[in-house]
Amino acid sequence: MIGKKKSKSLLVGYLLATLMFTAIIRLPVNSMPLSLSINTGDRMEFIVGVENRLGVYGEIENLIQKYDGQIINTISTADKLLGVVVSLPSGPVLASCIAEIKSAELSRYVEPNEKIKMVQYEPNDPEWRNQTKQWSLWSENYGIRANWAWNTTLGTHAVRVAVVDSGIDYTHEDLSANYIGGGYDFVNNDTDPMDDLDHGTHCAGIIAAQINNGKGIAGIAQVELVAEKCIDSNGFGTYSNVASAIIHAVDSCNATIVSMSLGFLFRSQAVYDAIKHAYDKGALLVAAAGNDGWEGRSYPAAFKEVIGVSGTDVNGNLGGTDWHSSYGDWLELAAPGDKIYSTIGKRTRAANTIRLVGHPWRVRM
Amino acid sequence: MACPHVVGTAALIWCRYPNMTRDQVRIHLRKTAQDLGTLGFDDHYGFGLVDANASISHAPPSHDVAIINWERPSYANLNASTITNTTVLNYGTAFDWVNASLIVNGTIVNSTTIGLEGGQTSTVSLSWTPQTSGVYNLTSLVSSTYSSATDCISANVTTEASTIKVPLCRKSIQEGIDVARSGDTISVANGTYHEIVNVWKDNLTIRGEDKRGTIIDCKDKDSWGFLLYGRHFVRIEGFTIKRTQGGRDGGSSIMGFAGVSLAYSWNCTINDNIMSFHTIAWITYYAYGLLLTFSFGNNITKNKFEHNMIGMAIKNGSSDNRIAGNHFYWNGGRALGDGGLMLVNASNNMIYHNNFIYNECHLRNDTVSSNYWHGRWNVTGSYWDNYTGSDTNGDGVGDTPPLPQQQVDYLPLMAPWLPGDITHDGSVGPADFARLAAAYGSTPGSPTWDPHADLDENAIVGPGDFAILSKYFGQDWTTYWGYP
Repeated sequence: MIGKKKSKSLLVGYLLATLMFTAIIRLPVNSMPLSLSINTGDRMEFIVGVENRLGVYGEIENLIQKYDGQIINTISTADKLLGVVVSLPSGPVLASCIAEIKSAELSRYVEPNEKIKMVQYEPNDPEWRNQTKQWSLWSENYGIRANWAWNTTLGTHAVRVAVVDSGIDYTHEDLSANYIGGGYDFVNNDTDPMDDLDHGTHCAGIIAAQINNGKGIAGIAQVELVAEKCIDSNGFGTYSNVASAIIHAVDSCNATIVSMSLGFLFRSQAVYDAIKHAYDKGALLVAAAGNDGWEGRSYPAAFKEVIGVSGTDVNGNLGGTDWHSSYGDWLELAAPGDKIYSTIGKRTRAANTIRLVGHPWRVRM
Repeated sequence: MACPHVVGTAALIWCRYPNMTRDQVRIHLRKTAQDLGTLGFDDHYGFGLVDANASISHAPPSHDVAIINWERPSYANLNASTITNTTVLNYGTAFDWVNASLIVNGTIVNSTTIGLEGGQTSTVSLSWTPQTSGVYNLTSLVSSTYSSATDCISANVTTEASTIKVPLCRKSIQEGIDVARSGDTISVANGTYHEIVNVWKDNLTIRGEDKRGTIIDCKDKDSWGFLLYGRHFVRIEGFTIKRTQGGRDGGSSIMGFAGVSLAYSWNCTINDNIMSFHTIAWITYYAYGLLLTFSFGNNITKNKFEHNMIGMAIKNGSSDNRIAGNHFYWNGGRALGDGGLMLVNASNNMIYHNNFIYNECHLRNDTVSSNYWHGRWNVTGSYWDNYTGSDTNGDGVGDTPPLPQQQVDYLPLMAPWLPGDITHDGSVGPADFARLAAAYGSTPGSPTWDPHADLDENAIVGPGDFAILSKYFGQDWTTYWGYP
């Protein structure tokens, strides 16, 4: 939430994919500045959670235009508008504008479209990679014993998992078989959710790296993978992008499981709206508890609709040698989270020569 | 990397048992998890370590039930129907008659039976009417007809109207806010709370039981206590909000790290709190006890700011706020000319009756516009411990010009402020009572009018002022501000 706010280029115009499903289709003014940033410089971004009624988009647009404000994005499901992302000039008029939006009863909430830092980024230290590979899947003590489960099923493409993260390196030889298109890149506003951080690729590998292909690692389940990219190459995302990614996963990609290995300490109503929508559509939602190591809550894991997962090490203890899992009664399950070996993208592979190893055990068929 | 393990396992379950519903998969994950930590559910491992082997090898039972969600009122109204909604899952694979009961203090008050197909989820409404006031323990119990399976969930509810008790009825302050309705009070019992509270609703009161015992312990870095964005008519009082470290305010960012952060909010009241130890190791960054950005018309009263990097900041065009009766004690640490109160682009704020004691620098005033450094009657300002002037007429207000670095407050108090101190001698006693009595009933223009005696600034010296004086009678500023 606090890293140096980087200037983010926003495309003039809307995410076509988002707008296609918006009940009220309005194209934005073309005069908006080409480069906006969140909470820096002269303008600030906010999410206005709207009442879902006809014409609300236009009413907000008219109102904020008086304040030199612009709608720069929307958060919408297939059939309704949940929120609009507005850019407003910083300064004393800001409070008046927010006040007018509220007094006109146009909003359910207003919150800053803050940058959020993803959790559980794993270090790429070479030594870290010398640990026993993939213990989390086979350890009889504190692993999940996936190898035993594989006697029964390896998974099928009947189940579709959306990885809401930094994207997936779909060219990876261990992931391409299970990857399917259809996801969206909300960071760059395009249909190519290529990973440029390796976090999403790492998660995807744990879930569904191709098994029995003589390459790389074995994923837990051979299911379809969709990438919904909302985390940028620095490990940051915004509330609006996280919310849009969750909605896109269930509305456009029909994902049955949404994996969110990300979290933030601040309860965002925009993200909650998205979570509620996905839950009501029947998706199973799973999120990391966070690696801040304190008793405080981490969202979206702490929403009751979401399975919050704490991380454990090879001895079953909470956290690991260099990180701590957050905890609290909002947790639902624990799972291995320390020293997990998995797929990463090409870029990092070049820097770290060890990337792929054979299976540490034989799969029992 | 814990999350993908659960995702992968859930995916495997769904592949193995494709007819399972979402809720069945969720309960299946819980029931097949390997219990770690204390027996059963705990706050470190939840229901346990996910186990792919167990989840695949254990087929779901024919008959079992589980509560997926339970909605209950935040409080109950006497002699009115109180409705609870239990969302129950037939976790089994076969049809079952599921009995759902509402139990109040051990007695079943309402129950019903519904037929559920295997994997089906349904919500059951059960009601009950409290006849006498008090705290009630509510339990929702569901049971299977074709097996001995049951599930239950319990919580407390009070009959105190519009009051959400934390943690008696809701586990966290945030949860209280999430379920609150306009006009509700969230009443927080003594204890230490590890939360960042996003106050995302208007017209709420959030009140700690005792400001020295109701503690919001912020995380050690990158954190806040209460966040108010675009809020109005929110009142926060009676908390200690301590230990925020780290962060930066990023120029115009509204997210400066603070015990309480108000942004584009108005008509909110932050009263009678302690904000302390909001510090950071890097002097180029900021941490605040309280931060006001783009906010106007708020009341910041009777708070104690101590041992913060910056006690309080008013920034980004915040105006028309009333900053009165606060205690700035030993704030600083940046060695850059600030510490107590910081004003950056702040105008028309009324700042008075504050105590500035032992701060590295009491006031940093980078603002070009003017603020009011006195109360409604323009007779008193604030107390500055480095004021070296004198009070020639004995009214408790310094008469010689203020110190150069302040240049703002021409009505400095001669003794630290506390409520009820009409004579400005740092204590409330018979002399204050005599002044109040002499002016009692007077209004501005009356011969007996004494603006110092109008403690509540309502233009009449009357019962309100008497109540304040009585409440603090016998105290001096050290006892009032919590010094032994």
